[in-house]
Amino acid sequence: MVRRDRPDAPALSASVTLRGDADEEDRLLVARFIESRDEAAFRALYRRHASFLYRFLLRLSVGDGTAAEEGVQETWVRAAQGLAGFGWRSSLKTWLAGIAIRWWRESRRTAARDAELPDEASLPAAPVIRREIDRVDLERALAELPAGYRRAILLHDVEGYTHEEVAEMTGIDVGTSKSQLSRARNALRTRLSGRKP
Amino acid sequence: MNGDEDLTAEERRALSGLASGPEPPPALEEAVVSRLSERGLIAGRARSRPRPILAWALAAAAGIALFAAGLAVGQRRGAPAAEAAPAVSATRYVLLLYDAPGEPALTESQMTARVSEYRDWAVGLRQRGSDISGEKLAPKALDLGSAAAAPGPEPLGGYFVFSAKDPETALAIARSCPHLKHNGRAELRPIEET
Repeated sequence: MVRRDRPDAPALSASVTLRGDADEEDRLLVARFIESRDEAAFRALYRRHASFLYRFLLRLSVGDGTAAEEGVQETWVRAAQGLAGFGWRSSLKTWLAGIAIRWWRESRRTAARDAELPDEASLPAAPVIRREIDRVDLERALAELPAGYRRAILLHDVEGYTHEEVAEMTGIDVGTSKSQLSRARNALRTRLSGRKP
Repeated sequence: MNGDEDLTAEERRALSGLASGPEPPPALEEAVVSRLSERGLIAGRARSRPRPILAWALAAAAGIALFAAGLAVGQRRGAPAAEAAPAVSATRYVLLLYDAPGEPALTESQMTARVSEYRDWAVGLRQRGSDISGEKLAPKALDLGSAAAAPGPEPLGGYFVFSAKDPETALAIARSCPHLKHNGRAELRPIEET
């Protein structure tokens, strides 16, 4: 038997899109999902946030699409289980990112986790870059970074999270987030300038 | 250094440009919805369906040893689209996959590649109308029954279940399984509906 029951355009999504407030749209969809476990509401939430989650986890896992897909699936399972207790102290996107990061940490081996943030603080300061940066070079340099540095740059510089949001989703304080980003940027510039750390 | 002001315009432009990166595979949405449905987290979907292949393949990739065998019934790749979609009166088949004898343990990257290969095969069939699903079996088994019924030397590593209109179609689909390229053994058997 073949199942073809995918609702491509949930009516709920169309109705709430008119409000034009991303956070409010999320609130309405979440309320609908919690109330009746509505599949259309979930699909609308998925389509609003899955791209970010996949992109983030794909880069975090250095291009491992299988790991990224598993991470997206597990993030949504945990989110669906915990949405009723979500207090909206942050945006839904920030909350989802926190879940994804926790899954990613759990999925890594202890040894890898230990090496997540090696001490590259002793690297000489790399010069800032004032030329156009090739995307492929940037992706490659990011992939070479220690995982914790990669995460810091992806969250703050690529996805636009504030240090306060990064601190909340990763369980560190704001000052640590700032220092990690500073070291991460230096490590990235070192690689982009062709210097090996 | 604590904000965007520490980035040059070129750096900021390049990094923010990555926010339009790769999109998730279209099949991922269905896999997520199916997983939530299985766990009762979404209302109104049947829960008796086999777990979708994507969920299984990803679970395998999470670190469990991937099955690695195949049946020496051929190397044909890609069953024709007309074969993939079962007819209303289709018979269900199980394709049992046995680990390849003596195959060394796969490295992480080899396992990832193998999982992707299996997943792409099954997802391709599903996109062409097949109802194929699969499961990875854990390496340890509880041995029941008499010693005379002892299993063969190769462990059963996993299986696929799918429907086909006739045995020829079922065999064509089985022969297209990438498992066969990896020097193992597979067994195709009709399921008796009881």
